[in-house]
Amino acid sequence: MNIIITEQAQQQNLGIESAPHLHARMTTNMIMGITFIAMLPAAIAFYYYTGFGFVWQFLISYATAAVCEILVALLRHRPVLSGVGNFSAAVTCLIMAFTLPPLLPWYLTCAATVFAILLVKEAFGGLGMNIFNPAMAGFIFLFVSASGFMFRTWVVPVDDACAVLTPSATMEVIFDGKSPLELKSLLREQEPNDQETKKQSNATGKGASYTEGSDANGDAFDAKTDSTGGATLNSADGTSGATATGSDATSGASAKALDGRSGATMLEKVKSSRKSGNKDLSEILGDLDRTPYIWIACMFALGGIALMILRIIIVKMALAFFIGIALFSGIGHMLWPELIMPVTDQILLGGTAICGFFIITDPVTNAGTSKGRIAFALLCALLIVAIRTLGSYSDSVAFSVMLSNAAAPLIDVLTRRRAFGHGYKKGELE
Amino acid sequence: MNIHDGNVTTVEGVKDPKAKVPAIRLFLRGLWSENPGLCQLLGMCPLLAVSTSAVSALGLGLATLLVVCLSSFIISLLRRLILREVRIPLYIVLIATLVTVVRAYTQAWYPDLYSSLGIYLPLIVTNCIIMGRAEAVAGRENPLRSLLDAAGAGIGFALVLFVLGSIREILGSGTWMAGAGQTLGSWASGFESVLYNHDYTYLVAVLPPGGFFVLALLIALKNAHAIHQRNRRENRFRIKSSRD
Amino acid sequence: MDDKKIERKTPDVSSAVKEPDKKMSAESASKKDADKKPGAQKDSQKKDRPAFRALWAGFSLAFISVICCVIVLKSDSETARIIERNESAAIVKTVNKLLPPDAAKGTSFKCYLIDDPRVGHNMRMYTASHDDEIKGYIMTYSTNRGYSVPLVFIAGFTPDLKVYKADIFVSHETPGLGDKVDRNHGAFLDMLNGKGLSDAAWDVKKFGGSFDYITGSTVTSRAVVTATGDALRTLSDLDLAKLKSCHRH
Repeated sequence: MNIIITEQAQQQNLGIESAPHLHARMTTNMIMGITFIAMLPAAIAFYYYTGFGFVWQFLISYATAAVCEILVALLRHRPVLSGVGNFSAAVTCLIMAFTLPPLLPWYLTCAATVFAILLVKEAFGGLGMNIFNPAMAGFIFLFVSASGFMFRTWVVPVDDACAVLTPSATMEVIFDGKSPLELKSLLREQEPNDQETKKQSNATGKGASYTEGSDANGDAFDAKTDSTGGATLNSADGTSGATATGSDATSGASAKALDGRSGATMLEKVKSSRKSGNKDLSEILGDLDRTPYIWIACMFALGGIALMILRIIIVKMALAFFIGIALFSGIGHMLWPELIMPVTDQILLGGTAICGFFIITDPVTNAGTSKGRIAFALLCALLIVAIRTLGSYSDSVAFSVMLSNAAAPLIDVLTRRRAFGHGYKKGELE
Repeated sequence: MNIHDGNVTTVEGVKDPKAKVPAIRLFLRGLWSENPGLCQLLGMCPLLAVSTSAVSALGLGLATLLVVCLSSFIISLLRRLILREVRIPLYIVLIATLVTVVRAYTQAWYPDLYSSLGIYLPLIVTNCIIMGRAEAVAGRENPLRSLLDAAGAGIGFALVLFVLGSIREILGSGTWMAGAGQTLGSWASGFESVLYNHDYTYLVAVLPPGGFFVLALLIALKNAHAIHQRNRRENRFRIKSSRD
Repeated sequence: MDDKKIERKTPDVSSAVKEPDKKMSAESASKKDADKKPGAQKDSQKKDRPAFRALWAGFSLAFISVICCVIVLKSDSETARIIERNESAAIVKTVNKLLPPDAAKGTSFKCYLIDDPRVGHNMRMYTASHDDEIKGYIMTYSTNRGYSVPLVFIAGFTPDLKVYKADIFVSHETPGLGDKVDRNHGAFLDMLNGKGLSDAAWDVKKFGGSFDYITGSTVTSRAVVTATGDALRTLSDLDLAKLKSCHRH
């Protein structure tokens, strides 16, 4: 806010300011910076399990976001450098890097970031004024516009993937447009420590087997790729090739995926099997090696708990969210075991972990009142389970978050706090 | 608002509603300053639904132009015989008749265009632009002026449709004027072009959200231009102070 | 009182000011609007009979409506012939693509509406008959086992209920992935040619059937095969006498 001061006051630097005259040392930028640091353990785990592509995505995203913020600062006649040192953009970019496929071509990441920052955040008024979560909106934008690319460029979390997916190797895929298939097959061959993989590789050589002619382009299932935040889950398994037996289903950690060249993520496979009328989820999820997922989820939890201790995240929200997921999927799994995955899988697969700690707790886009926030978290959990089960999309975190964001003002109205002095019953004080 | 001397204070200054607008201004204001699609925001339903490709957008724009011109002309011819109490039903009957006739002949002579427009061709009846022109101008002015006003509004709307349709088609399908030869006639097949590979398109542009986004950007551009003009006009004689 | 005055100030300020009577009801107030019409302003001293206005209103509305109805009917009848010709030309074009050559030429077509849970609601079937002998069927059928709904196919069948040629009618499958079943991207649909209900197990190999599927589009491939199987079953169960014929739209 500009204040009109006299020339004399300006020269003498009398320090005339408007209220408040005392404030806590914690600024919004610092909060965002601490959130960024809290996500770093998970980022390291993610780098270990999926390689350097994730870092490239973050760098591209952040560079684009910085340019956008500078442009907006110029348009608003604000100091330009505030755009560069803006940690909230960094947090958004990091969430997008977790969410988007690690091997996505650079121009798509740029487009998603421009959409998220310029259209979803700044066009609504900038920091603190946006209705929808920019990272989730950017994900949905890409998901809808470029499903083929999104589908083809996932990476299954594998032990020590960072050795295979080196900076230079991933750079070729992301920047030069090389096909991601070779990299992914390299990844797969890296750890053939499962029976099935060995069996299949013996039987058919280089995995040409299953799928009748694994499509050379690695087309995977009709695309609806998965999740948002998670990235934790992408199992690149494959496509149809994955025979309905437990073996393919593996996907998971070890490079099995001899099947599938493209990388349908785990949730994608679950959905395809549901669509084909396959009734048994345990076939697909049975042999899954959940170690990478557990590590990544734990790192997110670590960061989240640190933020809770520092009182940046509200404990109630994350608690309500995970309890909600446990409740809805627990009941659902009991009633319809072939449709709804068990609780552990719901939390580990897909973007649930990052959502619970970092996405729904974003103070700008969630509800305002205390009760409202709990309702928001529960609504988000319900939508995640429901859309995963019944919807056309494999992972639903982005859509659930956006829908909950749209409902947040209504939740606020419905959970209005009583003003002091109002609402008493006759003859009482409280 | 001052009503006693007949003048009305608007955003663009004090105006006298009874003053006669010059004929050329009637035409030009429908094209730019009071464009039905970008300023008045009328007819948004067909605007967003049909503009997924340039050809269908152009087809609907031309159909709307035809209907609005004819309806304004006819209503203006009959303006002294229409009583104020029954003007709305009469306008609706006339407009509906025109749209029915246009639909019948489009279905007969341009069947491909008809099937690509689908229900939005009959929905021209509910397009507020036509009713708005009838109510605002055609009921009061002579036929020539009404025709000019309607032509301006119709051409403005058709232009917005065409631009929106082109942008959405280029971004979302990588082509421009695809299907022109089949829908509009063989003279148009020279315009068909494939601009880039289908794999690199942003599909969201031809989906409903994309329509809203592109339209919002167009409206924002137009408003930016208008605000810039206004600022320039207001600040022409401003003396800059040392603190600017 | 003041409110009434202000109410009546729109649209014409000057004549409303002359209106002294404040006790009028809303109806008569609107009838007095005659005084405010620009054309009648000159004779505001002479009061227009409300009955005359009402009569003229009704008459003008009726007259113009009748004229408009006549215009609509006339244009409809004039274009009806052309429209029917267009529709049959479109049918002939489809038929030429989907039916064997001997069925396509010189035949008459009848359209029936099909409403069966296996193939969908509002589906159409055309019988191509030559001298009262049915030479082929063309049927549209839909399925909701595809990746997106709707997914509608159209296929030509020979009289012995074998698929002659199938094609996609309406599809929103994912571009680049599910839409590889399309004819533009390959010959997947040709695999169905010449097969009848008893000739093959109508499912994809992965699930025990005898048809291949496209890697990466299992769901869509399976949808195509199972839907065509369902269509064949529906066709074999059909009783032409019980079907309704299509309306002309």
